[in-house]
Amino acid sequence: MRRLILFPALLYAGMASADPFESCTSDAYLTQSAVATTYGVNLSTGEYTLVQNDMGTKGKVNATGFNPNDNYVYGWSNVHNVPARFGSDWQVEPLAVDNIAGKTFFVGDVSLLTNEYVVYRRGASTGLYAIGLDPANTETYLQMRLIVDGATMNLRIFDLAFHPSDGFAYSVDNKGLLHQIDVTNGTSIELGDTGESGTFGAVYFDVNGQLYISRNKDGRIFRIDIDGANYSAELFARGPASSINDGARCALADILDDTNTEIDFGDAPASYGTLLSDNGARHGLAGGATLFLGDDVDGESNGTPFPMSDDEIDGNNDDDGVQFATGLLAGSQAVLLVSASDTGYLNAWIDTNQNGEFDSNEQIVGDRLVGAGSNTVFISLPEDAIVGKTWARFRLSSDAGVGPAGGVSNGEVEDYEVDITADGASVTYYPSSDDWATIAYEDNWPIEGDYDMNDLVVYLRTAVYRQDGLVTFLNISGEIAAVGAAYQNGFGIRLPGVLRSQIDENRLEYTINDLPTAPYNPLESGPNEAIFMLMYNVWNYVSAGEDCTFYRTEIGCGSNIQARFNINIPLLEPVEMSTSGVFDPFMFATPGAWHGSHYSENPGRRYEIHLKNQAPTESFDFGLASVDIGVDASDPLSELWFQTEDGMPWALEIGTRWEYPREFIDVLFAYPAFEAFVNSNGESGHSWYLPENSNPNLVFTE
Amino acid sequence: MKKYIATFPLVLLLTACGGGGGDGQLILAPSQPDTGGDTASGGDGNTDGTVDGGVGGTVDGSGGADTDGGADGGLVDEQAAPEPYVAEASASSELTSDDHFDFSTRWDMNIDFDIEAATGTTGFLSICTEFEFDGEDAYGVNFDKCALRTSIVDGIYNGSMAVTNDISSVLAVIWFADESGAPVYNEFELVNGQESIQWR
Repeated sequence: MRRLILFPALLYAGMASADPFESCTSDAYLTQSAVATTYGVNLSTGEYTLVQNDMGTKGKVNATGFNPNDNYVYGWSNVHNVPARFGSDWQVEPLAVDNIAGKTFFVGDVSLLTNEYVVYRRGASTGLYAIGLDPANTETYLQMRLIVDGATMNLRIFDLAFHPSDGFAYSVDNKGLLHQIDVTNGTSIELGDTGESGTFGAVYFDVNGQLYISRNKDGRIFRIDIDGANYSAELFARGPASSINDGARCALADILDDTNTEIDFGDAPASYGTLLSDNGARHGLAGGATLFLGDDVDGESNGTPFPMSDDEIDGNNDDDGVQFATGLLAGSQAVLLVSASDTGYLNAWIDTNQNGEFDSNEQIVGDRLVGAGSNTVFISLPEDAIVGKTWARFRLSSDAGVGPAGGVSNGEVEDYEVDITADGASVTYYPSSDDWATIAYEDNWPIEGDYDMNDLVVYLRTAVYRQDGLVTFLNISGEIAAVGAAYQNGFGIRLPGVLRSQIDENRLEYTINDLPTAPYNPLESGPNEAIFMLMYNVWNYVSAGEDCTFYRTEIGCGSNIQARFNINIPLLEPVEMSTSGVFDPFMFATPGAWHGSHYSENPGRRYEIHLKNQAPTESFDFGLASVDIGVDASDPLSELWFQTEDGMPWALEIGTRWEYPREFIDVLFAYPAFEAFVNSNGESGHSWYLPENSNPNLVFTE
Repeated sequence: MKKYIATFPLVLLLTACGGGGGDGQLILAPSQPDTGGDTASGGDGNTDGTVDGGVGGTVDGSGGADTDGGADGGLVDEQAAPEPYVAEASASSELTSDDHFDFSTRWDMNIDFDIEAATGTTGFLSICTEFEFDGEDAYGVNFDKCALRTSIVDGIYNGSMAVTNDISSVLAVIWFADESGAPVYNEFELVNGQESIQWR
């Protein structure tokens, strides 16, 4: 065992040391997703909020545990492949530990009595390890030692948690059996059957010896009474679902009920006055919320400013009371349809000068009395309203004279991100401003695959902005829905007929999960055409989860969507563009990655798969079709591409948010009418892809 | 500040409805589908009507050319008894299609509006895919599900939109935004692959 030189905190060179948590906090923390994201769960109310979506690591963080001895959270950083420490800002600080296991870990917690970070992995070549966390104990500090190998201790568990006082660690395996683990020797006892099965990727204790377990596929949190020896799991709360899931909580903390969630806050960015500390707009809900916009209103303990809005996370978007019946055109009137539950005063603002605040001269509705039901409201946009995305706030209350900030005793506030367009602009959406189309790929070209059409599945939506018939701006948004691929693939979109030089490169905006990707420039340099490299390797943004091989294609491998993207593409001059729909989305082989032993050299960027008869980009190497067992029948001179001799494709575009087949299920079995569609060359079976035409047992469900 | 000015009295606008003509009604009757070009004829192998419960069977749901009406307000054509579709092939690798067939599940449709009665007006046009007729004289529209949003001057708009196969009708809504204005609606029933919709 190597001796390490002692420093107060042994970190990688150059990394700053962050402050610990102020105290043993009551919240439970869930760290999820391929690009680590942390939520705080209030166990007394079941409410959860996004705490940090930028943890300073592009990779997963697993096996988290709270150390009450120093009030830091410890976890395993996949990118660094060593344990890491997290302070109150949730930024990763890798520790200078010699990883004697050589593997990554997703099961772990801090043993508070012995002040060690304990991690576990099944398998003979790995096992149960402890890493000392006490700087005063120089013999053990940051030393990793093996307690027992993973064949002797053989448990199918996905996290563990230490009891606040009895010294044992506890976990629930995927069959729902509760195990008590003695980490001094790696032995365990099976205590009983909790009655719930699944992958419980996050488990934690409270000070009363209650164990909480969070199930990956649906986010449900169950409580088990360890101290009371009642081992059946009781459904306690609903949290966010993810295939990557790890829980940390200060086991010595009580469940505090000091939060008041009977208040409705907005969710515009913080500069608009959203947080309580900024005297943000808020409406009291105590005594029964009877006055609200739309269908309902939900309460929260504090504002959740974009991009951390509760409406995105908790599955209940209560911003539903305002419809924009017309677009918002600078210098014109617009029509809003406002739905109210009862009579009240409506006040509203739009940040037309995009300064991040609702100025008093930006009030578009002032003390307008609205009644129960739908109200048609006419507003005016100033001539100098700046074109582009901005925010609008609507407040309904019994009181008149309400401003953009501050609290009132009843009603609701709804914040909307809105799109102001130039006067005379037209926008074409595909499939609509709120729907999705799907692109699905088999990634084995030129070899015929199994037609489960889920090696890569992307949901896409496009918006094309025109002025006088010429395109001035485009927006593409999408979600990585599934990756059922062993290969590593990238995803890009080409704009047919548009040149790279026509794009206003400096004003491109590309975000992933609402976080800017700048300074990354997605516009591919080199080719003359406008090609956007959205992800070089989709596996960098999604994860299969602890018990699964692929992302969102296998049974029981549910997860929320882990990667969403959005790109705004302004053009330098208005151009003619006849293309529509999804443009030319394509997958390519991740540069440097293996794409089959039939290629002696990794093909990388030269390898592309497009929709049938869609020509590839300039980077494509048609020589890659010459594989012995390949069945590609492309004929470039006849403009026939990416099809077999029978005309079958390696990619499909489907005009809906498609329920794609499960792993290894041929699309023909999941959707029998696909046969009619294909054999008739599209004359019949037009809607073969709709859910009502599927075999529901054969499509992937979360 | 520019306003939408309906210089043409709405009453006249209503009586001069295009596309099939309602007499003085706010709602314009659906225009005749323009069956140009490559539309699919309704009866070859499509099944329509009610939807099968699921295992092994399939019917062409809302996409069939024979089903009637808008999203909710229309009538389901119940003439033909649904025949569950059973695939004969045992794998997709056994299917064949023409090399030029592109598997597209959408088509591009022209929008050819030249509304005589709207000459001299400025309005805002939306073409939306989720809507419900209220049985009397108006529609409930989900304005978050629109495929086209544009200003429309003199009642003239030429453009195109992509329509997915499962859409059997779309609703055009024009607002002439003065304080007393109510929107004008025109529902278009579509045949799959329909070349254009027209409003005169």
